[in-house]
Amino acid sequence: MSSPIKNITLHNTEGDLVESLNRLQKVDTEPILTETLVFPEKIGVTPSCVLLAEKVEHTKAEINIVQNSPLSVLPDSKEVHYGVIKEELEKSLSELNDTLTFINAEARELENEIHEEERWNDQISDVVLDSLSKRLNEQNFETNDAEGAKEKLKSEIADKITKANMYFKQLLKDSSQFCGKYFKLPSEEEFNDVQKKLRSADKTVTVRNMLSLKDIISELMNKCFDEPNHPYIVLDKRYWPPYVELLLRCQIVVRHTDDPRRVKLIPFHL
Amino acid sequence: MTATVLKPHNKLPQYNTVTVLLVGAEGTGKHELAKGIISIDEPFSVQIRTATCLPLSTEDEESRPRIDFICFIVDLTNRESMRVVEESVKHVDLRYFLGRSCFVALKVKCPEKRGVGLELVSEFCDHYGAPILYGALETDQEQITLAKQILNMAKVSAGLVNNISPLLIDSTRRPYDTQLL
Repeated sequence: MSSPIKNITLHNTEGDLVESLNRLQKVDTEPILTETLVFPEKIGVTPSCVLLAEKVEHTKAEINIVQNSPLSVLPDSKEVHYGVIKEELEKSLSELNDTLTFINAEARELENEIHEEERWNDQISDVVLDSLSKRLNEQNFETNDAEGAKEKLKSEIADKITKANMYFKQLLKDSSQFCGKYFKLPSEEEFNDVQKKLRSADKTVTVRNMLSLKDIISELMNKCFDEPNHPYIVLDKRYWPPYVELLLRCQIVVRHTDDPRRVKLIPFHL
Repeated sequence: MTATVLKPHNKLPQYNTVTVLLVGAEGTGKHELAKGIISIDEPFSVQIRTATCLPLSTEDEESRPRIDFICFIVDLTNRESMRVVEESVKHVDLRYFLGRSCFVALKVKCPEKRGVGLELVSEFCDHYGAPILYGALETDQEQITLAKQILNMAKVSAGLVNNISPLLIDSTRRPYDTQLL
């Protein structure tokens, strides 16, 4: 305590000090309060009555002390007043200075923060703009492309169809060539020999109106597609029996279960 | 029995000193709390006494300083600590409850581990007319906060604050049970 109060002559305070000292010494020798107040057993939730009574008593005593004690005023000396006021002013000045520095520091910090935030904001808006425009471009591209994709698909399908047609024609040609080469119609003599052997030979049938293997197969296939529910053809004399037998043996055609004259192609395409 | 009851006014105070007594069962963290209180920088000296339960032994009755403030520590996850406090309170003079004591409830953060109901504690505190401080001792920050609260009250009850008495503080407080208002 390097306050100016210390250096002031204590003419009028000296008496007070002595008086206080005497009082303290008197207290020291007085018997100390030794009476015991014990809490009664806990009953219910409410604060204990003894406690409340004690509180009231103590509060009254304190109020009494405050009312009866004289106001403590500074000794009536200009120098003391001056010193006290000066000390208080200096104290508040230093405190205000501290506050000022603190506030300045805080303001600087906040400014830095604002700069940082702004920088972040710029960066983020850039990124967002970038990604949004990218997405927009993608969308545009897709919508423009829809028409094109349709056209492309159409042309692809047409292409496939022509290719399949060409392949189909090629297959037809090959199979007719193959049949014509290896499964010829019988010659006139052969036919006549067979006709002679058979008693039930139909004289109306000649080699000329016989059906070749190629014709038989095409007839079967056409029937298969024209009448899928009833793809049977009726065999008559025009069909050369060895070929029919061959087809049956190779399980290319099957007979009707009830009518032995009817045959149908095995449904390979299903 | 009467000799072992703690009384606030049967000894002379020491100069510029605050003496705090921490009462709590084993493992409630009395010593961490004591370290926290001592680590706070104040213009007066602080003494901490700890006890696992009251009454204190009569042997060092003479050398013991005047206790200015009593903290009863309850660990909410430990039922034993509550029981210890309930027993100890019987050995304290009623005048300590006029603003010279408080209850400290620790480990309030994990309600699923609680063994002692908060209602029970607040009811108990209302009966004894003492405030409860809720807190924890896990981090330094929590320790310091709790220690500051205790020290502020202890300072008043040791008479180191001008024109403020513990009873004044106590009369500004409200009971925890709202029906008692």
